[in-house]
Amino acid sequence: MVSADNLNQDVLELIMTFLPNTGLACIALVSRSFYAAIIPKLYRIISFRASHATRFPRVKTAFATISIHPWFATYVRNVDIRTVPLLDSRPHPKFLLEASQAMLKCKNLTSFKCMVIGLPTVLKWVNNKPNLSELQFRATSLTTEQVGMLMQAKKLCHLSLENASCNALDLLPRWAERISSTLTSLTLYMTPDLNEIVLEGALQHLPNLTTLAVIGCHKIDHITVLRLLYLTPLIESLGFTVMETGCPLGLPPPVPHLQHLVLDTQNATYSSMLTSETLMSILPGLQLSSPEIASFIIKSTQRQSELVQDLIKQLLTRQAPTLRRLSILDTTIPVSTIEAICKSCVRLERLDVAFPISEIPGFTKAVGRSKSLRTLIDVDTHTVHGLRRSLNNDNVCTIMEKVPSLQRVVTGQRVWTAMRESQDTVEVAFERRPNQGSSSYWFARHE
Amino acid sequence: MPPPNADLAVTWAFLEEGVDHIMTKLQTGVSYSKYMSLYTVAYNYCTLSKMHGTHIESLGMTNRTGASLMGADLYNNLIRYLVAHLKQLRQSTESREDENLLRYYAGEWDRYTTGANYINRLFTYLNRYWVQRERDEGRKGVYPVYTLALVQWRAHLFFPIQQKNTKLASAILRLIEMQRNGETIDQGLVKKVVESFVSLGLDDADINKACLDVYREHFETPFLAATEQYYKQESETFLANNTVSDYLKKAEERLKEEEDRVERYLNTQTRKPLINKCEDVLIRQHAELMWENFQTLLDYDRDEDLQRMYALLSRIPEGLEPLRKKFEEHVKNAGLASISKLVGEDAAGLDGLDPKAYVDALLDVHTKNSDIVTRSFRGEAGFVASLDKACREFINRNSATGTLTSKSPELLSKHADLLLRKNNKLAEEVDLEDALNRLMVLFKYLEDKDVFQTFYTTKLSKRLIHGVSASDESEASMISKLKEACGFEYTNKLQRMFTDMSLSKDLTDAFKDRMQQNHDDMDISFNVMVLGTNFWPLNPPTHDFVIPTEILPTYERFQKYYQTKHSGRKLTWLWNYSKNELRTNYLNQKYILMTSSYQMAILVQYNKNDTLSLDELIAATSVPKDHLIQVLALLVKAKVLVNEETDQYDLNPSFKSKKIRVNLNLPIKTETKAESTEVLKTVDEDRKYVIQATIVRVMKARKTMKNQALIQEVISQITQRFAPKIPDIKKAIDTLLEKEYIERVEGTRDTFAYVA
Amino acid sequence: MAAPATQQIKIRCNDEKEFTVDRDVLERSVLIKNMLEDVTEQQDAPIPLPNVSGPVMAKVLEYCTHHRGEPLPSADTEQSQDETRKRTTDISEWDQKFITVDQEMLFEIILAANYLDIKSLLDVGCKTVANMIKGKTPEEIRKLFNIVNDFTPEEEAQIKKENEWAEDR
Repeated sequence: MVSADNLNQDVLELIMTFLPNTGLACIALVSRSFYAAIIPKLYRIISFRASHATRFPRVKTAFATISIHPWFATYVRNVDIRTVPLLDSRPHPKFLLEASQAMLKCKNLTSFKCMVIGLPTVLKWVNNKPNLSELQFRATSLTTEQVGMLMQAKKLCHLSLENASCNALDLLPRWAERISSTLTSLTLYMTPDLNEIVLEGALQHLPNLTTLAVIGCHKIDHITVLRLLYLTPLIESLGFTVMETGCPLGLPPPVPHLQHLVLDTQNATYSSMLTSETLMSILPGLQLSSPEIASFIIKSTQRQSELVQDLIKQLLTRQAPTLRRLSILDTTIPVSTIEAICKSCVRLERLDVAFPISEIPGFTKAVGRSKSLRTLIDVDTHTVHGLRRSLNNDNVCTIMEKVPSLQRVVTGQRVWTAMRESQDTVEVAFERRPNQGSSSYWFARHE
Repeated sequence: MPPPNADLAVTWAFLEEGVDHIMTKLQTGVSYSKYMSLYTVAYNYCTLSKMHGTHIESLGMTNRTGASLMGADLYNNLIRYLVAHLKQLRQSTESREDENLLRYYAGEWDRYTTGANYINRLFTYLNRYWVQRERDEGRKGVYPVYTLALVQWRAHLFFPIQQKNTKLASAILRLIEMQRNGETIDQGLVKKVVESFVSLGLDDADINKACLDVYREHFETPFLAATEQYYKQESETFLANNTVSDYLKKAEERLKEEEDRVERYLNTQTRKPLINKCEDVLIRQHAELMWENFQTLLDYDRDEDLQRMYALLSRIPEGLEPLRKKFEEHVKNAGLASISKLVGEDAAGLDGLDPKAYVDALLDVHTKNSDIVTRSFRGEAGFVASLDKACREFINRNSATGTLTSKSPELLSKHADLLLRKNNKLAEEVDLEDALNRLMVLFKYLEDKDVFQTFYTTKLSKRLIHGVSASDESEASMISKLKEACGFEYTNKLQRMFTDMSLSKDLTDAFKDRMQQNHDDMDISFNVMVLGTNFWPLNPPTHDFVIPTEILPTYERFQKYYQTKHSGRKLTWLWNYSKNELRTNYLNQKYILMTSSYQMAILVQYNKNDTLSLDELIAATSVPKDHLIQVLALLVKAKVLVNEETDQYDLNPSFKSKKIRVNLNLPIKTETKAESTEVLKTVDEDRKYVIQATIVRVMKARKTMKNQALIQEVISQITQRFAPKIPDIKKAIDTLLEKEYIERVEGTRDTFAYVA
Repeated sequence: MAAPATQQIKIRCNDEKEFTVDRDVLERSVLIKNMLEDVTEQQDAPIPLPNVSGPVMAKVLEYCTHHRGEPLPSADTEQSQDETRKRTTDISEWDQKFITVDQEMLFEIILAANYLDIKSLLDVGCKTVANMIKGKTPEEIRKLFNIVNDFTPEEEAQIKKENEWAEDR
């Protein structure tokens, strides 16, 4: 008799690949064959988060386990380190030792993310990884030698630097030249020392770049970024910070492949208030190449709420037919605007917006205008302190009924998934997700 | 078929029998049942893994490495089989050579790859899971079964054979050499073996990508070397025994042959290096010989050879440059020779040089060589440039022009004048438009276009004044051609002249109408041409003139009339260009005499007297003595006046002429001679101003400039109109310094600054 | 599209059950497709399938017949299949109904699809099992599938400790 017990190992492993990336630890406890089948998937993605750091060293780290079972290292592909455990305010030496021993063995590493400040030794861990294609880290005190070592990675496709040091920036153009045939995505975040000359010097080696994000770097405003696009005609995903400079936009180079656009107005310097002219000049400037923007994110402040509303209106007149995802972060917009969005964006699948808790019925009606929405996500605007009133089950059911295509509603850690057995009735499955945070930036593109 | 849980030995025995059958006896066929059982046995062995141990240390190693071991078992056994199989093949090749070897190799290759494809599919389960996993985890040396088969072939058959003096590759090269020598070879065989080389290349990073490493190292490189050797030999021998023309043919043939060769049995990547090498050996090595031979081909109009030589030399970089230079020389010499001949023949010497003959001679050389460029050099830009350079040389400086670069423009303008006049013999023979076009071809090469412009203006003014234009359309056509060539400014004056003519006609008509309304005693018909002083190259009379009473009323009326129309404008009457018609009333036959104004002034005196002395005539007309004598001489020659006594002129009562209308208004010889020098003087004057104006313009824009740079800039701006000489520019600079338009910058010797 | 498509092939399962099927339906199985290409000589005997029984084959044929004509997945590249598989969306309605069978048949179908190399059917089966496993505790999984716990208590403890980092907190 065939059962899950004696399925051959190849098939069992195949079944495991269809599981989500979470909740795998208990699979390992089922039986020997399940254990063997789940290990490759279990150790594929290793992340070290705050919850791990607080329980260190009581709870063994993945690194420690790899040291015990060295062959686990061949399965490791993604490593994501968001924090490190401390001892006397310094990184815990035991942790560093474990991690570096394990990392040495992980020859098949493809993606490495480290958002911890002051951990330069970490970079040694990515030395000699021939398949490394994604790198994201805080480059605050990166030295020239370290950059030199990083430049060895020949297959780098995605590079993301936060707070890059001057040393790193000096070498950026040369680095770009080294990886010009493989790099498709470049992100420079919160890097005050980044200037136009370095950026241009880097971009001129990257004509095949499809993703560019330069956000929160106060020497690089939107005009500069748009101007430099002549070097990257294939750009599909673009993010920049809009700053008030008083200069007119001019004519940006054509960007016919642009699909994902991110505007950040929050990280601009506070020296001058963003004016409507400046913000409203961006979309028309891009319009000449008629890009079909499918995904749009704007992160603003509550003070700029009216500007954002006007911008959304402008966006809708131009891009409503092609928009599939829209995110409005850190600022509230009125229900009427939400309604306009849902009505005119006939292909909208995902909407990230601050739920107007005091107007649920109006909100429900507004969202009900959409025939295509699949995912609805509540964005925390940090404006309401104290106990927040929020959606309950009934609210969600009503919304789900109103929007037949809707499959998921998310607010904070609560996730409702629709289960539509029949045409009319809908039940929702509720789950509370652990607060894992994400290692991707708020402006990253989601498929 | 062994049971699913059979051990390795049993399993493999079964599988090996099947594999061997497929690799060696595939032609006898495989049944469904056999196929499926082989597949199933391999599948079962891979999937039914056994547990090894329950030790806590081996936790995690158990099932996984269990499966891993199973896969490795089969894989390694497969390798062992292939190696043994290939060893046998290798032994067979020991004794074989050349075509024999190639046939055996190709045959076995076919059989091997077909079989390998087959067993690749039988072991597909191994490929899908175990091989995939191993490669995913970075293990080297594990390949899908088909690739594995190729890897083994390469290691255990191909390399060993090649190590014996590259037996395999050499065999192919020998065949190719035979084909080059004209023998027929089995091209399919060569193609097959060459393709196997390509298949044996492996890119470890992406095994599905074609990789030419083996092909390049073991075939292409020695092939190119052999090719080089072969053609070096052949070309040298051939040239020693044959003409260059024949060699060109041979080289062309060989190049085509090599292109074909690539198509037929080489890999397309070889095309570029092969052709480059052949071009190098066949063409570049012998380029000098070809360059030397070029002149002969030109001299004897050997079109086909020229085309061939061009085609061959255009393949190598810098191959055409010597040809271009030689061609330029050739054209220049042809042009100069043609003109020398013309000048030598013409007994009348330079002055009497027929403009038409001159133009024709120049055009002939140009046309002939322009055709050569189109026909034999495919109109290539470099050759066109050479042609232009040569033409510019011999058109501006030849034995007819001597050192005067102004002679050619003068002759061309004379020719244009003749074409555009009424009743000219040329217009009957050729299409006028065509002739003007051909003239423009030469015009473009003139260096001193301003000389042409000035001559043309003068001649045009004469044509217009005397009304001898062939047709208005041709005049307009010529002007538009000049405008196209030189721009609006060049033809501005000419355009104005036409406008003046038409305005004058309107003016005359209006005046006549007015006179009819007010007076009716106008028994003199009168046509006036009012010409803008700045646009017409006409000089006012150098002396006074007494207006004869007969025409005085008309004169005064018109003056008044014109002042009412354009008050403030001054009219200067050009008696020296005006003409009249007089009716003779004193003879039996009524004649109409066409005269100049001066002649008229003289003749109307005879209305009152029959004979007059020179002094009387001087007094009556105010024409100075020298001029008057010349005018009188013409009248005497025409027998209208009789000059028996010195300084005494009588009217001839017995004047006879065949024609009713008698033209007495012939140009004075000295006038025509003076025209040339006049024009040249004007041109020189104009040029001074142009140079100065250009310098000022440049300095105004640049504010400061060094001497050298300034001269360069001025030259480049003026070249369109004429070729300025550096001494003239320097003189102009000095003049401007004097007049304080520019100044020297303090502390420097050669930098100037603009003075605002 | 005359002869090959309407050609009828006979297959025989390991329990002697025979089926006569259109060629293009059978060719959803890459194994059979390849074999028909490789073995060019005409055969009278039916194709033997030693690892598949009649009832299972019937179900497999039901699937193949419904999906006949759809393009087959392209040849695997070197890249890990995990990436492509994870991105596949949910099971279609028909497939959902089709795969609603008892556990034993479910696993038999999976094994048959694996053996016969029918990728889409294999994926449907595996996804179904994955959905059954998702979110359950180890004990629940064992109960559901009747699996024997073959760990010693010490081994269990060790495994728990080693992989505790992967638990969601």
